[in-house]
Amino acid sequence: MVFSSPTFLFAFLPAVLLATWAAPVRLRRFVLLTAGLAFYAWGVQEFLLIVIASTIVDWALALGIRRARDGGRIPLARGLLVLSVAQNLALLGYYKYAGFLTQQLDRLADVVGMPGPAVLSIALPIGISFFTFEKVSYVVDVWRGDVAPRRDPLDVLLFVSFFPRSIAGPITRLREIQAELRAPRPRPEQVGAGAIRFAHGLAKKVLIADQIAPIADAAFAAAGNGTLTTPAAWVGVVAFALQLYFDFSGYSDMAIGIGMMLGFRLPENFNRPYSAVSVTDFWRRWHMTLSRWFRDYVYIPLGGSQRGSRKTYRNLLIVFLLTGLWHGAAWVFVLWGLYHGAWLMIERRMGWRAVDDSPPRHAAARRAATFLIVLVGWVLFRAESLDVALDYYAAMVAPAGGLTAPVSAALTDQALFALALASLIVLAPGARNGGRWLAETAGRVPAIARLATLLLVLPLALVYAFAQEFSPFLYFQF
Amino acid sequence: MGRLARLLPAIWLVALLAAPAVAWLLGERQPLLQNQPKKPFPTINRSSLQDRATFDQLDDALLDRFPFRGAALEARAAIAYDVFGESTNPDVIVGSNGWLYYRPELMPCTPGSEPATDPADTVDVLARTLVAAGYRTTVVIAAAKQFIHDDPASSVDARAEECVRAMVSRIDRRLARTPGGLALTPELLALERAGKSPFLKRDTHWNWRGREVFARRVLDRVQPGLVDEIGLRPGPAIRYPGDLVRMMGMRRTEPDRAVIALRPPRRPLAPGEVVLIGDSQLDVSLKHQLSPRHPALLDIALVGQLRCDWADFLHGGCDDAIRRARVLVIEKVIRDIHSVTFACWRPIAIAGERLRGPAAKWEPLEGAGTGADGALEIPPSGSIAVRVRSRGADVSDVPRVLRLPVERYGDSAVPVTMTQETPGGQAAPCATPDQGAAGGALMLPIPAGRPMSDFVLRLTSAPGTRLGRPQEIVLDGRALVRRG
Repeated sequence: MVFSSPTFLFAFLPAVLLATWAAPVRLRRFVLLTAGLAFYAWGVQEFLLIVIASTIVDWALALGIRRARDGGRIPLARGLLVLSVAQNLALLGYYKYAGFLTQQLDRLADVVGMPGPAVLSIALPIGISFFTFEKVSYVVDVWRGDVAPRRDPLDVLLFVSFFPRSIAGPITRLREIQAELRAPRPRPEQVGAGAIRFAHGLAKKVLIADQIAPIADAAFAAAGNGTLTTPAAWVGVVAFALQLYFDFSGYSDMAIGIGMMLGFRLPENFNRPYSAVSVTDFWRRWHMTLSRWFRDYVYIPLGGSQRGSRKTYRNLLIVFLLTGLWHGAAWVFVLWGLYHGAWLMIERRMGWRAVDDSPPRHAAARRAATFLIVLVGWVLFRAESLDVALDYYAAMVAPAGGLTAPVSAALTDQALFALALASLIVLAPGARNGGRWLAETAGRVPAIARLATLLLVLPLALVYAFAQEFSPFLYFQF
Repeated sequence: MGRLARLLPAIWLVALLAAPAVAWLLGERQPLLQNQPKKPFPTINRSSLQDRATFDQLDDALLDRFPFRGAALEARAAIAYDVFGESTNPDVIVGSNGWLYYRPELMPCTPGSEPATDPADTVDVLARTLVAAGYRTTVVIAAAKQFIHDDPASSVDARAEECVRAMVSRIDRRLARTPGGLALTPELLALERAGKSPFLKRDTHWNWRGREVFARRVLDRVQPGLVDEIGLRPGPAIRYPGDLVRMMGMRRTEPDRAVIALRPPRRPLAPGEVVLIGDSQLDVSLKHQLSPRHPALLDIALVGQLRCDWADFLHGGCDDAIRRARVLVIEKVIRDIHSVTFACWRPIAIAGERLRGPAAKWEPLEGAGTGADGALEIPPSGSIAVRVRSRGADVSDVPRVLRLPVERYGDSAVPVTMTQETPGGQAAPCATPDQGAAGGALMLPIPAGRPMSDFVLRLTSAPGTRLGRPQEIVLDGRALVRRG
């Protein structure tokens, strides 16, 4: 089910909100668990049992890890940890990477003239990358002693299936919501702020991202058939950069907003990423929960930056190679990850990271340069194949005038308006995440903005959501 | 701030979200959208629940049933149209000043949808054959709005537009000089140039001016003097609901007038004397009652006459009525010209039941020759390639139609099928694809200026089937048969 789909908006969500609020506090987790399983089962029922089974295994192994540690049997605890991580990564590997791997082996076999393996074609269960990381974080946190293992398996099941974030994040740790898991008690101000946050996210998705999408789609399709011109290429990639941000951050706002209305505080996922003054800074603002996960569960365990420059660079490359692969089993994602990893290495080497609190010199120029670097990377991210990406880059740099006809057709007044609005929002001064500012800041201006959001923007967004055809969130494919 | 005040945003959100479901529980139902049937609910069972398509179908079915979906579509379309001057339906083009156009009007020049034979030749041989068979005939092809109301802002595909415009012009030039043809475009263009557009702004059809032109010209062809007899004139003001805005999900009307008749004709036509085969332009002009105080023109001027749908006509549902009729009106819009090229063989085959002409001769290109009586027999292979040779000139400056009579069927009474194997040229329009009736004939029109020897036919049937000597009928505009 998709947050912006009419089934979710006009049936599932109001029913779950009303049922949760109406239920006695001790029964709310059962309402939420039922809702989470139904939400996930809607369309991917065949995978639901595997998710439940894998979660129960994690629950049991986490208890075992804790018991083994408490008993001083560290090798056993480590073994159970490895088992848990392995079963999670095996599921992820099978569903997400087995097809890619067999395809590469088949190509390799073809090159050396040997019979290749059968290329597997496996449907990717929605949200698997997100909840796999969450389950891994749980058992690792238990191993580290950062969180106590849950005695009740329903707690872990609710943590994994909590529908606001089960399929596209924010990637949450159990310890962040453990207090609410057993007895969610939403406070009135939290519920009100959650509604505003949700409305803000829905508007970002349907009023901006979905309106811009045809421009990017047309540009990348034109790159695929060799008709892309230079202006169209730049317009297309800028449109994609804005579409991706408003789509994914809109989803995160909606998830956080629903979480708040249900009494949960989910972690923030975006903080004005296109205001970043370096690529390092960008990764502290973009998909923050993913960056945090890789930092805590890969980068730091590898030694982080504490073991000399060469190992730091190696660790950065590993993290960003994995970041790329996490987004998809394709060479374009691998290259995209390495591209960002390389920039982080360059910034560290040249002292350009600009991550301390003091504003850097030439902030505007650095911001523009960072945006340009990120923009170039998005081509790899969006292109269907390396060939298309190379054609796209060629169109960006080899001057070819005019606007590709389909891109020109996609630049309708509505799309241009949405593009201009998105650009203004991104360029507007300010240091805080817009959604959080809108929902939680006191003062006259935020109050007026809240009123406008509720009375004008929300009904408009609902009209657009109700009237549009199906439009999935971009990050569902990961 | 009080507890309720802090909860107000959430109360408002849930009220908006729950409104459709609550309305449904209170009995509110979403009417059909654009007359499309609601998508059915999927079958729910253990196996279907494991299929992702079941949930997609469930989403679609719910979406069609949520109350207020129509209102949301309308609001969305109104924002797009009124604020941004854009369309929410890819088939609807927004031009300047809110004028709307229908994109499929470019269909005749869209790759894959082009007519199979030359449309000008098609309407020419159709009208002339019917005139030759004694019908009082009107064949008219209605040009689309964008080719009358010139609006550069509506341009979406310059190549296709130019192509259709040229096709309209070619057809109209031909209809203007074809006996039985009616070219309306020049008159409609003249109105447009005088600042009196004959089209509705937000609809695919003519407004009262266009409808009046059509009604006058057609009714006077049906029976000269009929227009004056009935006192045809523009009637009261009405509000016309636009089909193009409806395609975008909006319900809007625009000012128009009804075209009315003041009285019935003094000399009413006998029932069934006229068959009108047309599409919605004909219906809006003659059949629909647009003013509640005045009957439709058809119900006052042509009482008892048959209005035949193209869907029926395409499948032979109008054949008997055509056989009985004395007057035929055939109207089609340019976007559906392929329907004319596809189905025009039907009235020509009916006309061919009565038409006769001087003998031509068979020229078999393979297998056995013709008999002493000039007849052709299907050889044991069941198929033969032939030409027909004229006794006169191979080329003529007027169209001709060849009548290929089936004299006798082979043992198994398999129908004779005729396919054209025309190397390096367009196929003949309106050729009979097959003939299964005893004593029937295949008809093969030869357009003006085309050598008869260009057309190579493959005739297929049971061995022993005999086709008599071909007959060549010259379509010079004269009625060769008197009717009724």
